[in-house]
Amino acid sequence: MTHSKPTCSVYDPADTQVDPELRDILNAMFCSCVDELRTDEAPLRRELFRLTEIKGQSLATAARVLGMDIHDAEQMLAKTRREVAVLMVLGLCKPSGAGLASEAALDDCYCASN
Amino acid sequence: MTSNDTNTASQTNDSGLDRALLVGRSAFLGFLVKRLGNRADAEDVLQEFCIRVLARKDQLRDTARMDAWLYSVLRSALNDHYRKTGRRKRLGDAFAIEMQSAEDTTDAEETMAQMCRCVKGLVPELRPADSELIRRIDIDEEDRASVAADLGLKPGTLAVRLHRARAALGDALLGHCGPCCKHGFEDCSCPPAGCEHPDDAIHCVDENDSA
Repeated sequence: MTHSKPTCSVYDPADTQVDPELRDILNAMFCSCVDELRTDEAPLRRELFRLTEIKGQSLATAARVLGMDIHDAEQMLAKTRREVAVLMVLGLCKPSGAGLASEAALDDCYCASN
Repeated sequence: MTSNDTNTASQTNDSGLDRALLVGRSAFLGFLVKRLGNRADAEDVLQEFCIRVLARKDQLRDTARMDAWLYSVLRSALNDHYRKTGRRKRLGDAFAIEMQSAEDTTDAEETMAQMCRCVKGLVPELRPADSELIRRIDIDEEDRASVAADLGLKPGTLAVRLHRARAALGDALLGHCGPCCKHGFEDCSCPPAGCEHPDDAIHCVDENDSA
């Protein structure tokens, strides 16, 4: 499958570990969910999550960029991942009024360009 | 679910997030519909995926990438779904074959029973020579050559006499059951049940009833 539309992810497209179509969907949901984190350290958590899960950087690299201890980064990322997963699942479990045509709205994701 | 999760969940009231997640859900469902072929199965797998993510979310601490982990959870839900539907289909196929086999067996037994009842009753009423040929060759399935040798007949002569004997039996069956049997004797169940041929609309009747 080719990437004919913009994607949040800058992962190597040749990496077929995750279906590219699904990766686009997940990344868009990640972006939406991580933006909703409401804690004092939310900006740092968002940035750590964005660098690792959306930009594809290693945890060590992301921690270094953000000036964080690797273990603190590891714990923060685990917590963020869990909360994002819960938010995402709660969204997926809701009855959907949105049609498939609104899939185009995924193009609005801006995580990768920030 | 922990208090953190609950706090997080309460944030889904945000309309922007709701909208984004609805769009994501729709896209996710579309992704599954393409692979499963129908929306009902896609909804089932999506629900199973959500349950598994919530049940296993603590594994996220040790995974290298979150999207890969989610994909593996989805794959396991899909595989289980395929296994379940495959098993259901195999059971259905096996049941259909079993039912067909049972019907075939029943039909064959009933056909034989109907055939044999009439023939067995009428064969003794044929001329003794005809009766013996029918009984030995058609009923007991003796070898024609040995029957011919036993009766001191040439094979060709035996074939002619067997043909005449069968014709006599056919006439006897028609005389006994009526024209309803001229299309075949598979439906010849008289007496006592009687039969009704769709073309001739003639009923076989019990001899006792017609007397």
